[in-house]
Amino acid sequence: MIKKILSCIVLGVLVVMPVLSVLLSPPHQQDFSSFQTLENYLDEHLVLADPLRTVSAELSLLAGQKERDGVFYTSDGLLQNFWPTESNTVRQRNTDAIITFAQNHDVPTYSVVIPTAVAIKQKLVPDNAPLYNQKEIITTINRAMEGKVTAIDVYPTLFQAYDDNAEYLYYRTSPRLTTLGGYRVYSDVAERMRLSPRPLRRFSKEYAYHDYYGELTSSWSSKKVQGDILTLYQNTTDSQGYQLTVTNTDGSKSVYNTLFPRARAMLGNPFDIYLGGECIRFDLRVLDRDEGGGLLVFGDDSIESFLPFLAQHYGQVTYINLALISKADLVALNPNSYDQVLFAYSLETFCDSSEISKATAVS
Amino acid sequence: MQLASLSFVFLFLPVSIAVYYSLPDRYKNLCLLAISLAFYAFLSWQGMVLMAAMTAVDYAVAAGIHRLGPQHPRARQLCSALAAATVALIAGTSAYAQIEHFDLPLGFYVYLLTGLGYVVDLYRGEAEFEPNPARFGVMCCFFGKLYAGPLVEYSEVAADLRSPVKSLTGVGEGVLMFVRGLAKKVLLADQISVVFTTLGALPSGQLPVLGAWMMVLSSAFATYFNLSSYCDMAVGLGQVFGLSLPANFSYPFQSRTVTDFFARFNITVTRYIRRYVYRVLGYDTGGRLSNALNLMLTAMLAGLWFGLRLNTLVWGMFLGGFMVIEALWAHRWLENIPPFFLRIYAFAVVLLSYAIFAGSSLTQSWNTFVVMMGFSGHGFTNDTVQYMLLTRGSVMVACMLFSTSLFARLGQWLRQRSPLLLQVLTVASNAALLLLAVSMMI
Repeated sequence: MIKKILSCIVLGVLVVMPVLSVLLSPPHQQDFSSFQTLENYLDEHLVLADPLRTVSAELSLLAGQKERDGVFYTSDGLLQNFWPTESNTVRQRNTDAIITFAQNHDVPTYSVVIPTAVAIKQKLVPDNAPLYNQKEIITTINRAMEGKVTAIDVYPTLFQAYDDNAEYLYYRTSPRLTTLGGYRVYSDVAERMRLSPRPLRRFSKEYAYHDYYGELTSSWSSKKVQGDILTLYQNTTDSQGYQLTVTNTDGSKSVYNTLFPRARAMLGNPFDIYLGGECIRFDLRVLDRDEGGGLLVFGDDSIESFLPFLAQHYGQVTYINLALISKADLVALNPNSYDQVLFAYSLETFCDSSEISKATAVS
Repeated sequence: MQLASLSFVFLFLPVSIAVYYSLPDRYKNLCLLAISLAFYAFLSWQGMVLMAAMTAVDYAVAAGIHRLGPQHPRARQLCSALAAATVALIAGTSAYAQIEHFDLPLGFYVYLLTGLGYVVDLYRGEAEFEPNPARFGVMCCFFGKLYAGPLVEYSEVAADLRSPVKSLTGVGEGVLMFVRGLAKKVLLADQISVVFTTLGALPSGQLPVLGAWMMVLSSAFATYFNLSSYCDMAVGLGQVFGLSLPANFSYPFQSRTVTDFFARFNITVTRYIRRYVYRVLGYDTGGRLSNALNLMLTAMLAGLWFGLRLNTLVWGMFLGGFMVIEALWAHRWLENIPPFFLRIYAFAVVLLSYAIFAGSSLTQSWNTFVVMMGFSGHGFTNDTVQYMLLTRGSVMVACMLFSTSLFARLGQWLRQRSPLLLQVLTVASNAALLLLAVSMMI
C-alpha cells in the first residue's frame, strides 16, 4: 500500500511540477526548437526552483564544498575564480597590439589591467584553493609595455583598500567592480594621466538599485548571500551637462543627457545605468565646456565603474568596444584627434579574449 | 537530451508514460520504439538514422536465417558476415573516432551488440524468431539503456515484449528506481568526477603521492557510479515501460578476487563476452596455456568495452593476468585466506588497475604508478590535494559507503525487525532523493 502511495506521489510530482511551471510562467514567444532552450526555460521557471536552488547550495555547504562552477562562497559574497583558459599567446598578442598602436600613433597611450575580485579578496577564499597569481601576471604585462605605453598598476591600491578597510570594491553577486572600486581605479589612473583626481567627498552618493542579485547567484543561491546595491556618484560641485550618444549593439543610436540613463536600465540590465551598458561605442560630450581635451578609450565592461569619474576631466570621451565594432568603423577612427588614449580591460578579457589585438587595425 | 536533465524528467518522461499507457496493448511496442527513436532524434537525428538502419539490417539478417533454417549453410554465412561486419564497424568507427577526436554515437556498442547477439542466438537455435520488428526494435534501441547498457538477451525480455504489463505499482517502482539512479548520478558520480578531473589536470610533475592515490580512487568511483547510475536509470525506465532489464553491477568493490570483480562489474557485458566469445574458444576445457589465453582475451575485450584505447586494452590485460593466476595457480591458496584480507587484496589490485584505466597514455599511467609508489620525489601532498580533501572529502566517504552493500544489509536487517519503519524510511528517503536530485540539476 505504501509503495502505491509513494508511486502516486512521485508520478504526481513529475506531472504537476512542469504543468504548474507553465501555468505560473507561461512561455511568451520562446523558441523551443532545441532542447537546450527548453532546459533553460525549465531551469528558470520550474515551480519551486528558487527553494530547490537554496537546498542544493545548503547541501553543498553542509558537505564542505565552498566552490561550485568555479564560484567561491565566502563570508563577503560570491567570488568567481579566474584561471586563463587560453594560452599565453592571446595575452602576448594583446600586449603587442597595444604597443603597436602606441608606436603607430603620436598620442600618449595608457593601459590599465584590472584584477578580478578573487585576487583582491583572496583572504576570503577557502584554504588551499588553487588561485592564479594575478599580481605577477599584471606585472609581467606592464613590464612588457615599459617605455612604449604608460602602464598603470591598480592592483596595490585595490588590494590595500580591501585589506585595510574591507571596502565594497566588487559586487557580492557579480564579478564587476562597484562604483567605489571604480573610484579607486580612477584615482590611480587619473594620477598617472597627469590629472588631479577629485576627492570622493565632492561626489554625492545615490542608490540606484537595492537587493540586486547578479549572475553569480546562478551557482550559489544561498539565503546567506546578501544582495548588492548599485550606487551612482554624482559630482555636486561641477554641475556639468552631458550628451551621451550610444551606438547600440544593433547599430541604432540613442542619445541621453546624463551619464546614468535610468530609462535604459529600467528596460534591461540594471548595469545599463552606467553609461548605457553594453554597446559598440559611445561618444560623450561635456556641454558648455571649451577646455578639456579628448579621450579615446578601448575597454570592456570594467570601464563602466570608473569612466564616469574620469570623464569629468575631458571635453569629449569616445569609448570603443573592440569586441563589437566593425573593421570599417575601426579603420575610420582617428586617434590623433584625441589627446590621450586609454586601454582599460579586466585581466580576464586580457588573457582570454583576442579582441584587443583588433586595435592594430586602427589606421 | 540527457537522462539527468530537467527536460527529460519533467517533460519527456511524463509525456512518454502518458502516451504509452493511453494506447492499446497491441500498439505499445510500436509506441515505445517511436519514443526511443524520438529520444535519440532529439540528441542527433543522424545518430537515430544510423541506429534505425543498423537495427533494420540485423532484423533482415535474422529474418533471412529464420527463413533458411539454422542448419542451412547460407545461414552460417549470413551470421558470420553480420558478425564480421559488426566487429569491423565497431573497430573501424572506434579507431576513426580516436584519430579524429569525436565521440561515438550514443549507444553504438549497445544496439549493435544486442542485435548481433540475437542473430547468433537465432543461428544457434537458442532464441526464437521474433516476428514483430517493433519488438525487436525495442529490444535493441530502448532509449533507457543506450547510455551504458545493460546488454539484454532476447530471452530476458521476450515475455515482457509480447505481453506488456500494466500496473501502477510497476510504473511507480520503476520511477523510484530511476530517481535512485538519477540521485546516484548527480549526487555522487558528478561530484566525484570533479576530484578526478581536478587532480588529473595537474601537470605530472606536480602530482604528489596522496594526489595520485586520490586521483586513481576517484577515477574508479567515477567510472562505477557513472555507469551504475545510468544502468539503474535504465532498469527503472524499463520497469516503467514494462521491461525487466537485468542488473549490471553488484557491489564490485567488495569482491573477494579479481575474477569475482569481473562477475560483479558490468555483469551483462562480461556475460555477453562469455556467451559469444569465451564459449567459442571452448571455455576452460583446453590446456593451461589455452585457458590462460582464453581468460586473457575475455578480460581484454571487457576492457575494450570502454573504448578502443591502448590503456583500456592494457587495463583488461592487467586484470586478466590476475584472473589467470587465480584460476590456474592461486585458487586453492585463496580459499584459505579470510574474506576480509581477500577483499583488501582484490580492492588493491582493482585500484592499481585504475592507474592504467584513468591515464590518457601508458606513459602517463606509468608516471602515476611511480608517484603512487612514492618513487617520484614529488612530496606527499600539496595545496590542490588538501583543497580537494577539505571540499570533496565528504563525497569520497559517501562514495566509499555507497559502493558497499552496507545500506542494503541495513535494509534487510530493518525489514526483519520493523517493516513499518523500513517503509516509512523508504518513502522519506526516496522523496528526499528526488528533491535533492532535482535541486542539483537546477
